[in-house]
Amino acid sequence: MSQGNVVTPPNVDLTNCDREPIHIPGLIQPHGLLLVLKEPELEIIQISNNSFEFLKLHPQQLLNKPLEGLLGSEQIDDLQKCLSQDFEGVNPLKLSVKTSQQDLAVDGIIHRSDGVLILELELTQLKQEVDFFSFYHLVRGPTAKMQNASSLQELSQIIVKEVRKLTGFDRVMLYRFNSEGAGAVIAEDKLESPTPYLGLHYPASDIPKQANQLYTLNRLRLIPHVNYQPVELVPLNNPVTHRPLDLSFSVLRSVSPIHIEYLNNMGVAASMSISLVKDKKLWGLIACHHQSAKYLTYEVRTACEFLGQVMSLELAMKEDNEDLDYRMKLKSIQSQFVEVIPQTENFIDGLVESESNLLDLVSAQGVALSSVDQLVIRGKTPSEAEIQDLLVWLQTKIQQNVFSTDSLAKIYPAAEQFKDVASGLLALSISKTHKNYILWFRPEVIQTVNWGGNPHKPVEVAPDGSLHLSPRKSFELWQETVRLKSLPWKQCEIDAALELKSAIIGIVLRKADELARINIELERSNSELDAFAYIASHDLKEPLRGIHNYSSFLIEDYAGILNEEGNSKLQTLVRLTQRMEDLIDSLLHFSRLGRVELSMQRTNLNELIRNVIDVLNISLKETAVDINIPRPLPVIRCDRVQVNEVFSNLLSNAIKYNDKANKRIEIGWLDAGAASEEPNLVDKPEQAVVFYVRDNGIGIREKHLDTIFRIFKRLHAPHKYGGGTGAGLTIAKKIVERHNGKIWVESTYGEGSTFYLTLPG
Amino acid sequence: MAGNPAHPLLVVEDSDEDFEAFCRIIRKSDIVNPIYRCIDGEDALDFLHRTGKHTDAARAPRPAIILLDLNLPGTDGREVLAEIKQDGNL
Repeated sequence: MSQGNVVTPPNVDLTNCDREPIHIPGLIQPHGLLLVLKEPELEIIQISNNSFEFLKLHPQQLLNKPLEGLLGSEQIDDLQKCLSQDFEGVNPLKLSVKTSQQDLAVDGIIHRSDGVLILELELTQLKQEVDFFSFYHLVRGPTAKMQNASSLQELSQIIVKEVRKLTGFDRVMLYRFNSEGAGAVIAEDKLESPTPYLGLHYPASDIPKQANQLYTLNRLRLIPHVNYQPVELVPLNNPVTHRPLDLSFSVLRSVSPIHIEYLNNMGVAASMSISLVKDKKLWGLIACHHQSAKYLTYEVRTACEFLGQVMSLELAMKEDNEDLDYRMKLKSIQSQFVEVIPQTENFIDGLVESESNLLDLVSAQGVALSSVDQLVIRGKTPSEAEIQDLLVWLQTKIQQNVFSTDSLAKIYPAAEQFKDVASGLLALSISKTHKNYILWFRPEVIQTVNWGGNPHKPVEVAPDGSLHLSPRKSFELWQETVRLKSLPWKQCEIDAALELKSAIIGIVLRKADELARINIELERSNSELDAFAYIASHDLKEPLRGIHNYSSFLIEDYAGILNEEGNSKLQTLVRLTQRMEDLIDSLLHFSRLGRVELSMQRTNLNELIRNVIDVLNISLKETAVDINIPRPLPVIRCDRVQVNEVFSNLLSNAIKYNDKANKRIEIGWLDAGAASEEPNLVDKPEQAVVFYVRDNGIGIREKHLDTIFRIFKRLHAPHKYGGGTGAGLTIAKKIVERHNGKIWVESTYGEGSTFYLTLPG
Repeated sequence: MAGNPAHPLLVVEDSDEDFEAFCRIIRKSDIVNPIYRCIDGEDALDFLHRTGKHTDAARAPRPAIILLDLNLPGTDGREVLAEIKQDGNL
């Protein structure tokens, strides 16, 4: 371990700036004394090597001694009482330290770190005590002014002014970070003479990650004398952990040599920074600079820190009020969408219908809407092919439903080709499963950024040949032209996109609900209709049965009294009641078809047709019919009983409506090639098979072709062609349709008809 | 002659015409069983429980056979059947 003048932790330069362990420098600033104490006896186990300057005692004279020797038992008792409390409420402790010459009045600031107590002592500057009331006076005025500020800009201006008034720094700036960590000066209050920094930008690398972390933890940082001589700790490592002492929360912690170089290059001799934290993230800094050394009491620092906290609270509210008019406009566009979308079949149509609104919603100049099978583009966008490629890339990038960048080409190099339309991209994922995305595009806007010095750190070659990055020497205005960037997406625009998503999902869900409700309603009215058909036919049958019975009774009882004509009329009456019963039964059968579950099973149609023919042969008896099946029929999945009824109806019709001497019927099926030319099969499902039943019967006049499938529609007198209720084809049609098939007829009057039907394969 | 005069028949039927047709068949078949008729479900249950207007046991004998129309106004045949089946006395 080297002692003496080693002030720089080894191997730190700007190339590893992000890795520099700035929370464990092993050094402090010399304006205070740091003591590390072991609990519970409060023994001094580590001390900064400047004790002689303060106490006229060397570290070796103090190490491993109780703190009581410095403070006396009374103060130690008080201190012990404080240790169980929240230190924020305790600090600063007004202490009096005994030295060989006099009693020193000091401010003690205490905190725990790494299992040890760290007590930092700074000399009390002013004789008079600053009590609660003076603190109140320090902050009351500024707080009231901040609360009255109407905008973030005004608030920023007030705080820099008030902090400068409170502290007397030459320059106080408000430095705000953007999402990439780069900062810009948005407010400044300063002496007349130095160059203003207002409006200047600073690169993200000016505040490395771990510094950002420390700023978040420790809300105030004071460097009273930039070119101080750092004081090392004795011993260098924490004797309890044998590691360098963690000084994250130490107010005296020594500053990174790189930061010192940075401040020197800026011409700053003393500095203070107050952290502004929003949502636990470093939102900005109040940076104070002085051209000469400058010390502030703990009380003033606390007042500044307090103002920083008030600012942190206020800015959230002020930021929410930013762009209020603009956000109102976005809201109204949004509510228009919510009205339009439900009136269209799918939401993409609804969105595209009001193209200008869709673009205005996020102030984009082009938009693409994608789904599995379509890509709709409006406004100024890349080509469809470019968008398709972009979508593939995007699917891996999009998280939390939204993705936005104002510099697409930086992360997606192919975008340079279409920078003129899409340097900015805001992508919204509506449904990953349906690949529903909305992509908004913004063109490249070439901007000039005013940097506080050249932000690209120059590389220097060190004497040993290694590369060394050093902070920039000049903070003079350095203008940069920024290309491949669009205007940035505002948070309220991103929010508007996200709200659109929830609106769309709400609408889609509501539609699904509505459909479900209509379905239930339909089911209910369907089953009501079936119940109605059943009840109606039952009730119709009752008086019909009466008519039938009483007519039969008349015939039985009075046949002898009535003449032949009277008997014949009664017989007609009986026959008509019989026919009415048949009609009612057909209706009942038809209404039941819709209710019965299909029992789908693999069915060999050759067997099924043979069965149908056997049954027909029994009822037809001597009628000679030539039934031809040119090639074996396929096996299909269907409800056997119902399909049997279809073929039974078609075959019996083919036989009945035939006046030729040689009745011929052909049953067959079409090849896929032949079937595809059939105009009725445009939307035929892939697997469906087309069957036909062809006869050489009486045929059907063209004008009747449409009506033959209508229930009870008959083309002939009831007694002709063996009669029938006129429900057979209606039932056949219903069954085929329940199998997701189609049925139709081609016919030449007088020569014969061909019935076609499709059934699932 | 057919049937048994000691085995009464209960017909539950709301339609007069259907009942008439039924009687006609019984007559033609020379069936001698006495026939009682109830016009609806409530009536039939009163007859079987001997309540309402059927309190007179002589006029409401236990039927040997019940012919029950299922579709009846009010309490229908299915409900009557369910009630008969769960009644231990019947």
